[in-house]
Amino acid sequence: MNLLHYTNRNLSLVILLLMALWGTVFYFLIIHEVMDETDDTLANTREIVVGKVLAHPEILQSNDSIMQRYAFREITPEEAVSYRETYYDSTLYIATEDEFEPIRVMKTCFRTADDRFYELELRISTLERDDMVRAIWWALVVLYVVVMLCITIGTRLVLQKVFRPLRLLLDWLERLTPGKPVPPLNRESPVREFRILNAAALDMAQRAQTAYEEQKQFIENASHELQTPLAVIRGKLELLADTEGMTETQLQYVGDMFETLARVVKLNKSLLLLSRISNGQFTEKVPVDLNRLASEIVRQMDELYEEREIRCLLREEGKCIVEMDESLAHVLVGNLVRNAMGHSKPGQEVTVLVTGQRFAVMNCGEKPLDPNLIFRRFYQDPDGKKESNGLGLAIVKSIAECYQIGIDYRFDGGKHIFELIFVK
Amino acid sequence: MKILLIEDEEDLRNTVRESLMKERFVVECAADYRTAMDKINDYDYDCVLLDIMLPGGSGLSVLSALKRMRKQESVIIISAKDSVEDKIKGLDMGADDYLAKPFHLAELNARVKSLLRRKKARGDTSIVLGNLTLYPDKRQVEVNGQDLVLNRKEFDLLYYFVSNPNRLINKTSLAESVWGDDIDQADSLDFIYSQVKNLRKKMKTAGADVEIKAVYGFGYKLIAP
Repeated sequence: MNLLHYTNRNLSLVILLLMALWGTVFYFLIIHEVMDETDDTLANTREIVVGKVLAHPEILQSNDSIMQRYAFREITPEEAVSYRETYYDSTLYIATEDEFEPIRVMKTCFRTADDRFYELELRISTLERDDMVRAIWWALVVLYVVVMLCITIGTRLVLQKVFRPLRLLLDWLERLTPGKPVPPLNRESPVREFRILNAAALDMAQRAQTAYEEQKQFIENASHELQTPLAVIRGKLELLADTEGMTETQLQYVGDMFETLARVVKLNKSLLLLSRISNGQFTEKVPVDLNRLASEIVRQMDELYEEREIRCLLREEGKCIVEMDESLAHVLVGNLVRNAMGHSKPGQEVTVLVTGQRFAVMNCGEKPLDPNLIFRRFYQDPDGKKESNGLGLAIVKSIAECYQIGIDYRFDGGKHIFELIFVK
Repeated sequence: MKILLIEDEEDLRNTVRESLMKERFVVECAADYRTAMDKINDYDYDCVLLDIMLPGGSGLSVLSALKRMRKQESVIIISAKDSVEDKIKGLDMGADDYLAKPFHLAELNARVKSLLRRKKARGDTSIVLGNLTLYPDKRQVEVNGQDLVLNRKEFDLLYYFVSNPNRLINKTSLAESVWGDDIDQADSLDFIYSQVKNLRKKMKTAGADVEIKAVYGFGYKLIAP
């Protein structure tokens, strides 16, 4: 639910309830007023009728049999002492229309000049009153619906206008990509809060962009600064080895330096690759045929480890195409397979399994590894090989995170299983 | 054979220069963009080794200037930036090869020679050492006119050796040239050891008069007559 709908819904809900409450109170107040008015009319009529009766007692005998608007009944003095005026609603049968009509009745008593007591029953038709109440009820309902509609639509329009700068800001934020130039943002808005928000967002984006550029530059510079001296050392070592009169021991020392240097070079390259991945510098995506890639790497590994009698087998159970950077795909698959091969013993087998959405590498092992540690940078398996720089799996994890590829390690039936899960 | 080496780092420049001069190349150097542009304007070279990051300008501009002048120089980019995009960009702009720092001199040597051979020979790129002839394009080797059957890796190794005759080659350099640099060193060195052993055996059986000599703890040397 977006902010506009959310605000609109809550506002409408509150107004709906308040309006309903107000409507109900209003309705009952009106009804009460109308009732009062009817009763007042009855009381006035009583004064007139009683006045007429006292002046012309013969009226007592002429109960209003035509209009049935009043009736007299003589009562005993005892009855008259405890008599209380009453008003109530009732119905009256109208013979001509053959139906009952709603009426309001008043019962009262009075004493004539000759000290006799009479009860007077006054009736008044409330047909019109009921019509009016119904009319009021309908008017209220219509008013309620119309007002609700107006308020809902009105607030919606207003909110839309109010939230426009926010929507523009959100669109802008979505367009931000690290490494790409910051898109232009119109900071002007009549609302102070939006102006501040826009300015802050723009400032932050520009600062992030600068930091990103600086970091990128730093990595490039670091690479350059390290690679060139390494190249110098390597070159000098080669020249040194080729000079006349080197003894066998001296050459052995130089050979050791070569091997160590190769490790430093590889470490530098791995670190560089890691930072470049975490900086999101690999943005190109192409469909990579994982089956083809896996078979290429498996063939290579199989060849490389033939001497040590470690076999690498490829099992294909589906076609797997992944959208990612091609060189990273190579590193991803290569590192996983290499890791498995490197930790295998002569006579063992490494299986690479490719299915429609999964890529798994399985190799024999004695005990499970700690899944929380193996993907950490520079983690070294205590019984592992010394030559590995502890970055291979960290790079795998980085690449997987970069492309939202699931990565899973488990130990099952004496086998380490590293699995990549591609969600389409 | 004249080579222009454009590299701003003095130590590296001298090292590469010395290595190339051992192979009897004539090497001229340029340390910055301006000197490089002056040299390519004034002289012709067989091969240009080009660093991308130079004081005063980009090596890629030197490359495009070379191409604009329709010069015949083969160009090898030697860059500290080991990224696929740069490589593709360089090759797209007309460079013939791309070598990431820190490279092995033997590797550079092999690449330079391969380019020069290709340029000079027009079709015949074979290398002859004594009674051994190696055809890089056909991936064939003959000893005394007889085919020497080698597997893929043995061929790669021999090719690297014959590109660097009479030069002591370190085993890590061999491993990298045959496998690339992204494999586990210890395992690839084991592999190199056994493959070279097989290669030596095959060459000896075929009666080749070049010999791969093992230098304990260091690597190998191809002794050519």
